[in-house]
Order: sequence, then C-alpha cells, then structure tokens
Amino acid sequence: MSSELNRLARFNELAEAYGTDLYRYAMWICGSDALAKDLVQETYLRAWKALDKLNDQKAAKSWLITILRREFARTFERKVPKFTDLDKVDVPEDTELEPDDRLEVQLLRRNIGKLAAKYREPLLLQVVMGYSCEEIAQELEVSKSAVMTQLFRAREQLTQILQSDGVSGNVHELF
Amino acid sequence: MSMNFSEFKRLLNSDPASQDPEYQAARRSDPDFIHAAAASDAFEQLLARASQLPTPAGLSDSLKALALSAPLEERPSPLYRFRYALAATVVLALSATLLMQQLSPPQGSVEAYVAHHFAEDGHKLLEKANTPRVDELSAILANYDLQITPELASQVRYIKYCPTPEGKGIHLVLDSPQGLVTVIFMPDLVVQEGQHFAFSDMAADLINLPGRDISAAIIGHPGQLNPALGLAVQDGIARLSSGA
Repeated sequence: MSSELNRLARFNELAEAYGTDLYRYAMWICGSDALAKDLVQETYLRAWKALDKLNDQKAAKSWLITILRREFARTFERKVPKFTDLDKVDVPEDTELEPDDRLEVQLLRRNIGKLAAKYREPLLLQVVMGYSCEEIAQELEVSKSAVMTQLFRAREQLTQILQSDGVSGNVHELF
Repeated sequence: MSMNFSEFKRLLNSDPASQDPEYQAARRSDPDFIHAAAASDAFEQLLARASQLPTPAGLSDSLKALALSAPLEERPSPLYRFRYALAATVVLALSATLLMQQLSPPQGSVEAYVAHHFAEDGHKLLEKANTPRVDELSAILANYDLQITPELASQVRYIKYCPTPEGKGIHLVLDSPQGLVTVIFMPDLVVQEGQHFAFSDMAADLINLPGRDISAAIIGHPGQLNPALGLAVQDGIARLSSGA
C-alpha cells in the first residue's frame, strides 16, 4: 500500500506543479480549449501509466512536454483540429496594468497565436514553460543557434505588430 | 567589455534571461545597452502576462482524479500486471471471506483513498477556514444536484472540488459542534453505511446520502466523530430536485 501511495503522491505532485502550465502550452499550440483539456488529460493519463519509467523527478517537466507534443502530433495526424480564435478566450482584465499596457497585452495575446508554429513553439516553451535555449533545442531536436534565431524572429514579429498598431510605449526600440 | 551592441541585442531578443556573465555585465555597461535592456524588460513583462491564459477551475484536481480512476491493468509493465493479478487474487479471496462473514462489501480502497486524500491537504485546508460565499457553496453543490440547509451552510468554513475514486467530488470543512471536521463527498460511490476506521492520528466515518449515489467520509480526530455528526450531514444535504 505504501508504494502505491508514494506513486499517487508523485503523480499528484506532477499534476500540481505542471498541470496549469501544460494546459496553457497546449492551449497555445492547438488554440482550442476542449482540445487543450483533452491533450493535458491524455498526457497525464499516459504519465500515470508510465510513471515508473520516470526515474528523475527533476526531468518531469520535459518528460510531460514530450508526451504532450507527441500526443498533439498524433491527434493532428488523425484530424486537423478546429482552431478557436484565441480572441474569444475570456481573460479577466489585468487591473494591475496601465490601460496602454493592457492594450499591448491584448495585442500580444492575439498575435502570439498567429505566429508560425516554428516561432510560436520555442517562444512558448521559453515563456510559459521556462525552458532554456538548450532545453528547447533538445525538445525540438534542432540546434541551439536555430532556436535562438527562431526566438529572435518571434520577438521581432511581435514587436513590429505592436509598433504598427501604434501602441508600443516602452518597447519600440527593441529592434 | 567584449560584447558588441549587435551581439547584445541578439541575446536580448532570444535569451533575455541569460545568465551569461558578459551579457549581464553588458546590461549595465553604458546608456545604449541600459536603454535596450530596459525596453526588453518591459516587453518581456508584457509577453509573460500575455502568455498567461486562464486555466480551467479545478484542473489540478481533475488531473489527480485520473490516477484514481485509471484502470490498473492498463499499466504496460508485465511485472506490474503480474503483481496486480496476484494482489487481485488475494483481494478477491479476502473479499469472498468478508462477504460471507458480514454480507457487505469490503471498503479497503475507500479507506486508502480517504487516508491518502486527507494526508495530501486535509490539515492544510482545516487551517484555511475562509468561509465561502453562499452562492459559491450553492453553485458547487448544485453541480451534484445537491442543496444545503441554511443551518449546515452556516457551518461551512471551506469548500473546493477534489479528486475522488470515481471522479470529481467535494472537499468541505465544517465548523461542527465538535470542532472543525472534514467532509469529502464522493459521487458515484456507495459505501458501507456507518463504517468507522482510523488512520494516522485521525478517524473517519463513512455515510451515504439518502437516495443518491453519493457517499461521504467525515474525518476528524477520534473524539470528534459521533453518529449525530453523520446524521447532521445527511439531514443538511438534500437532493436539489426534492428540496431540503
């Protein structure tokens, strides 16, 4: 019984520590709340079944992301998901921000989803999942310099959007 | 300083949190670098906020519930299958014996669940005691077609969804006449009425809600539990459609 309880405790730790970040990441790559929930649920179901293969709890985050990305690829093979417009996601107003900053956040949110996958994925691994460039390179199986270029381009595109919409306050001199 | 401005901007826009010592020194080196670093910091702050999409309420709990509902026989390891086949044989044999002796099903898995669940956050939630709003309380209970009497509602000090053996249930903290006790409502699970068991330094009573496939574990210190508490919970929670 104690090993079973330990197993449950380990799994609960994973759910607690990474569940919300994985959902956000899933939401950003598939653009659909229902599919994101399914992806995260399937990821954890697979994680539960294979938990004994996870020897190092520190590697859990990348292990879960890898499962989720594979699951997404598998789903995508079967059917092209219907992308929900991320504009429709109900985000509570961030009252800590100044009105201009709120506008910029909205614009960014809308346009992160419009970035090409090759730019969006590394950016979200970095910003949402807290990955280093090396970890992103490993996960996406590309070189670190390629990842840095993709991250640079992603930020460049987002900054240009802010500039073209005329709302960029502090960030206009980034590029 | 060996990092030129072009290199600096490349790093600033690809790996802004880099701990590279040259990059960190460059961020504080001269006005152009400082200015660019400030612009980057402002952008990163907005980017971080923009990426924080809201997450579904109770997501972690619903993920935890997967482990409780996932069938054990689907585990890939043959060793596990063997162990669980062996364990299942033993459990079946014990169950048959108990059935013959008591004419009632064993509650081992419910006991284990209750003990584990309480060990997870039971003590922590007892200390939280943030009395929920009546509408929040009613809304959560209504999801299970349940309503609560004003008397019992006035004793509720905490409520949240929680994982249970058959899915998502409710974790309540009640300020009962015997002090703070925990009540876990477990949907789609019928238990052996009135069963009492101890774990760690706590004890639990299992009850069923009348007319519903919902059971509850009332958890408290051994001296706190008594049949009146179970009756109070049963009387205080009623089916929404039939009235409190």
